[in-house]
Amino acid sequence: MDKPIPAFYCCYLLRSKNRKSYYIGSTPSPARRLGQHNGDSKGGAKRTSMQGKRPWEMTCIVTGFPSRFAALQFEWAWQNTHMTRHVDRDIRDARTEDLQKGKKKKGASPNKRRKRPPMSLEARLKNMHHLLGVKSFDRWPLHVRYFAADVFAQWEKHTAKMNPSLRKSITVRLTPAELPPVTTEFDNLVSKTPAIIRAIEVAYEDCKAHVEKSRALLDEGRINSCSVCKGKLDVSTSLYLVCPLETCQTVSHMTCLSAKFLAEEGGTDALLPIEGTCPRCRSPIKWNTLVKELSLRLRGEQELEAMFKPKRRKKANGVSEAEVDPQDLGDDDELEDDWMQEVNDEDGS
Amino acid sequence: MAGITFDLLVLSSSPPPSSAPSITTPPSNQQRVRMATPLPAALSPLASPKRKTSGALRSDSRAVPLPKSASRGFATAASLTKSHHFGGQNDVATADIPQLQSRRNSLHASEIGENAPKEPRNRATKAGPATDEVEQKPKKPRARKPKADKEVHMHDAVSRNPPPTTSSHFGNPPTIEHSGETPIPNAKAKLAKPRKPRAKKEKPENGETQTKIPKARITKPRGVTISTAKVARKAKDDISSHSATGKIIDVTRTRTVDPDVGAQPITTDDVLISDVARSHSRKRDTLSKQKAAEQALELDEAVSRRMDWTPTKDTSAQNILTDSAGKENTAATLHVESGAFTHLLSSFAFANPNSQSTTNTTMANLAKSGSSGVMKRRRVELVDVPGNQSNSRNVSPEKSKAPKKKPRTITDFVTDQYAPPKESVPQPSVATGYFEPRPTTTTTTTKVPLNDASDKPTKPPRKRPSSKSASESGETKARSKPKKPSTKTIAKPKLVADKLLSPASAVMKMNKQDILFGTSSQLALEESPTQIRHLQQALHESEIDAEILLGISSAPGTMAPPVWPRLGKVKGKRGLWSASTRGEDGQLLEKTEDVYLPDPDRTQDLPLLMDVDGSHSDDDIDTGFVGIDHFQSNQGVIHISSDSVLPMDDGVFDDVIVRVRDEREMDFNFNKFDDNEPVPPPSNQKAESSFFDIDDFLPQSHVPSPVASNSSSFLNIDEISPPAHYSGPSLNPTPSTSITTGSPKNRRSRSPKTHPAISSNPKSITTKQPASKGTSKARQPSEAPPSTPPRSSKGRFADIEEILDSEDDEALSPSPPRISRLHATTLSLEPSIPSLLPPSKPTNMTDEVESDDLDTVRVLQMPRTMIDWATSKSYIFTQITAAIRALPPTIDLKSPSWHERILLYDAIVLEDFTAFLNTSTRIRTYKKATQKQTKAWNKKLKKEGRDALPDVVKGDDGAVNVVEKELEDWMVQGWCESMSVCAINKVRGRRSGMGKGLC
Repeated sequence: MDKPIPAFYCCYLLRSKNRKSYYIGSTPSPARRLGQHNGDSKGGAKRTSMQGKRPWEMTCIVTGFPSRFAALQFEWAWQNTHMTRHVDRDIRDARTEDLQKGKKKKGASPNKRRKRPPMSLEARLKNMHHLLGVKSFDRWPLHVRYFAADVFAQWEKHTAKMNPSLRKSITVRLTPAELPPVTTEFDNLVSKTPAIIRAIEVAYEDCKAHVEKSRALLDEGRINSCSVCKGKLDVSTSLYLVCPLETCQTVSHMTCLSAKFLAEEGGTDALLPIEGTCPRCRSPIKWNTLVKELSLRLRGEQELEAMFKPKRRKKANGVSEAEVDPQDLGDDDELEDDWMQEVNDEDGS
Repeated sequence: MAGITFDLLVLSSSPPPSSAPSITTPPSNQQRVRMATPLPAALSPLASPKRKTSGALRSDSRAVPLPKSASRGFATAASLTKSHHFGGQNDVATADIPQLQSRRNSLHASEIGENAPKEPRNRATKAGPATDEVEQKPKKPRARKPKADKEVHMHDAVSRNPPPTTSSHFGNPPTIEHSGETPIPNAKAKLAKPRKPRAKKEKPENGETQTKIPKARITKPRGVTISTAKVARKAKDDISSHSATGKIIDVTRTRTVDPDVGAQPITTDDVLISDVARSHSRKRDTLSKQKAAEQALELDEAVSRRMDWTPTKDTSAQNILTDSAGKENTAATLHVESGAFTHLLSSFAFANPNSQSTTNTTMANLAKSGSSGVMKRRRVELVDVPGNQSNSRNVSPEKSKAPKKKPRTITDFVTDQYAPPKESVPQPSVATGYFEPRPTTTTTTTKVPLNDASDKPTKPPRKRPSSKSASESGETKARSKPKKPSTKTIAKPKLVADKLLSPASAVMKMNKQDILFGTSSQLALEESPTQIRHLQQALHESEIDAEILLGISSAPGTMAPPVWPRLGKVKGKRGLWSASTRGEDGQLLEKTEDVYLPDPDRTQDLPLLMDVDGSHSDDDIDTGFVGIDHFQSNQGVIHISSDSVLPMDDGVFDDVIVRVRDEREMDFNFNKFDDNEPVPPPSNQKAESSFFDIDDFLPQSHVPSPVASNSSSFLNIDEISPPAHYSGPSLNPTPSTSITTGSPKNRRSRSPKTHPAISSNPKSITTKQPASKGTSKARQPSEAPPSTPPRSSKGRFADIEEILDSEDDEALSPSPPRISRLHATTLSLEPSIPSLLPPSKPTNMTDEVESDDLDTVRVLQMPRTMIDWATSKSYIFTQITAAIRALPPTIDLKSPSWHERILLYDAIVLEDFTAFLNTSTRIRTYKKATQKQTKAWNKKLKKEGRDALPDVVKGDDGAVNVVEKELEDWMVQGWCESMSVCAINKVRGRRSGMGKGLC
């Protein structure tokens, strides 16, 4: 657990050009991953390797996963909503039946691992909607972003009446991506991946100002008391959060601020806050924004280094994505891969 | 010629459907008429004689090509005229081909040629058997020809027409036509049959001469057929005029030819077309009333014949031809109307390639026939690959069957192993007439004949026989043995099927039947089921024996005893593994499997080795499982386990010995066994006798017989073979041979899939073990060593045992996850947790017992609901949440508290988090206390002067005696999920568990 919260991690729903095949995956870098799925670069999933199904279109992504494991769990649950543990069994079975309407009910024993039923786009979207509201995930700072207008329309159509509706803080956006033109041989890589996906910020760039501000505060020695508990705040021994607002110099204990946020939310027994208002500037703040900066401070030496190194170059040329976060490369996740092993290794360390 | 041909043409085109039914055929005839489309064929016979004359001449000139056709087509056709016809056809076909390619306006001759080849093709496809008929029929056909299938008429008509034209242009074309005619007569008698044989013969010929044709056929046929149809329609009347003009006739011919050609290559399209053609044929029939009447008469016969004899495929093909013609006819009619001969010719050109396929004559003949035509013909041949098609056709059915058989699943392999006897039973009956001698000789031979008889059944048997055959070949000595098994296998199925058994005998058989249970991977092995069975048995018994030995034996210093008991423990824990009939030690099975899998080949070698090396014990060891064990024991080099065991029970050894002997002496002892056995008919017994049966019987016979039993040690067992008991090395040769002999017999009896002698050896050993029910001790040691070190040298053997020991130490922990569980459970049992009850708990517990005594666990009385996780979890969760919130913030930035970690969205490692909760909080769950625990607790309470817990009323919902239990991972996981905390498992060894872990 010595990695900071990833700058970006998402689960995505791919749709084959033939519109009958779908794929759910997760990645910290959608553009690169989409290129892999489409064969532009190595490492695509086997299930997306059939030329007949290419090119794949990234129809939507669920963003904001606070960790790689979180994304993998959501991915698996999305892929296997019929048997995920994150949905209560009775509800799960009922939903599976509902989504499989017209199909025969299997007499398989409840404990036996069931085969993943074929999922229509509608079912996948509904599953995603359902999972976003499931207890296991509903405190995560997730957002949904659509790139395919027709899929977004389907989502609106099918999930409008779903109960419960999505938590309000989950934003669902449609940013239509122009379908890749028929690719020519030479600019495959660029042309196959829509610009809007390539433009997704997968580095910590958006945290940069925040990090710089907190550094400045630290350097200036202005951090000495918690804005919530008014108590002493020892920079060297306590975890503190800094308001991301440039003009606000609020600093708080993490636990104090979390309690405040939860209190603002009111009536929840949750541990994880989602959002709240700054104790001083009263501006709404996302919890994950605060925590991400903290995690960078705590564990993100490498990332910060990478983030600030290109900065110097930036004066000359400007930052290239790849340079910004090299750690993301090779960080791709394919559920079929041996990621578990990695988990073990990490835990062991 | 021309006049005749015209008449024929009229017939073909003339019969409109309406007239045909009205004339002669009953309403049912309509269908018949469809079938009868060949009716026009009657014309062809007429044409055929004409053609024959011309064809004969030409054929003579082309003497060279004829021999080729003669070999195939002549035999069938049996008439030289036919052969001539075929030759002519070929020539024509060649001529046609060039037309197809480049010449649309090309010579009529080429068109004619095309027509002729088409006819033969149809015939060929339809009937294979009719060759004889064909020969005879040609005479009849002439008169009957009109009656014959409409299609035939069409072809004939076409062919007839072309011959005159061709005759004028080329000598060859008439010959071709003749060939077409000859088949037609056959068609009259039995249209489908005669045609097929011809087609087959012709096809090969075509293939020789014309390889490139097929392409042309496909494209052209439609147009040609259309033309013919149109011609036929318009014109029966027109035909006369057409006949007057040779060109027109040619066109019709080509058209007709095309349909035939198209029929062969084209399938679906042709079929569709066929309907149209049928309609045309009906019309034609109506038009020519006289002909129709004749046709109707013949049609009935023909229909019946077809129904009886013609395969569906063939009929379809014919239909296709007609159909194609119909389509083409539409186009052709247009062409005719427009009067553009060029177009017609082009359409004919397409037809030509088809005709070529039918033609029997070689390319050379074509060239000889006409220079101009030759060139074209040659090209056609090159372009069309009729021969290839014909070949492909012939081959294709076989191939198609074969590939179907090939794809197999593991289950198929497994089932196939047992399927062969069934197949063999029915097959033999069919094949017996042909192959009786072979089956008797060897199983492999029997299988082969079966294959010949029916493709499907043959293939599976082939595989088996191959292994068997290989084994036989490999083992010179063993060869005699494999033969025996084959005979036995054959006999068994029959017996089973034939006889009704008395209940007692049936039960016996039931018992004898070896139902082999195993994993698919085990069963999928190519080895015989008996081998697998033996392996399983050997493993199982060895372990059992080991247990017994452990209990009984305590040879002081020997390595063996510790190993065995441990093995027993392992068994108990791994019920699933045992259930799958795998050895308790997965290793044992794997090793054995590895050893045996390659066996078939190795076995061959092994027996040889055994025989050759018989004198040398060391060599023997390498050979086979049995040999190794026995030899080793005999040699005494590595006896660690075996020695200790051996002294223990002589009786056990005796049994083993007996078994060995039985295997060896199966032949000798068979009678004895039979006597002993209650099974009713001795013959059946022998035939049916499987290893088990033999073994079962053996013990009885053995006990008395075993001379070696007294001296018997493992060595003895191995050596048990008749000669001498002890001298391990010296004896080895004899026993090895005997073993090999015996084993094959056993295999034979059980499974048709006899394996090589080598493989049999290990089996024999295993079989011995299962057989020895009572005296297992001695057997087990013997078996166990072999299983672990199949081919290992002595040194390896020792090592293996050591490994087992080490494993035994770890035996309690089968896999990492289980280890963790065990650990958790142990923790829970320990009173390590300070028994501080959460204040809120509604418990009636007796207070504060200090659990000084580790044995006594504090027992509480709580509402029954507290035991149920579903009801208690909410309470637990709130406790956990409160505990987490209450955690003080960390002081060390690098090790945040659990609360802070959660706030940081860290993925929580369940094991660690659970351990934390269990160690630093009092949150506990409860489980029902056992009576023992309750008693112990009460005892302690009394000891301390307190009142014992009140008795709990069973069935009462109120209170239950419970014991505290630590939180478990899954409980904490539930909390994490309820709190949107990302929780992961630490121990997640393999992919297999991945899904569950994440979900």
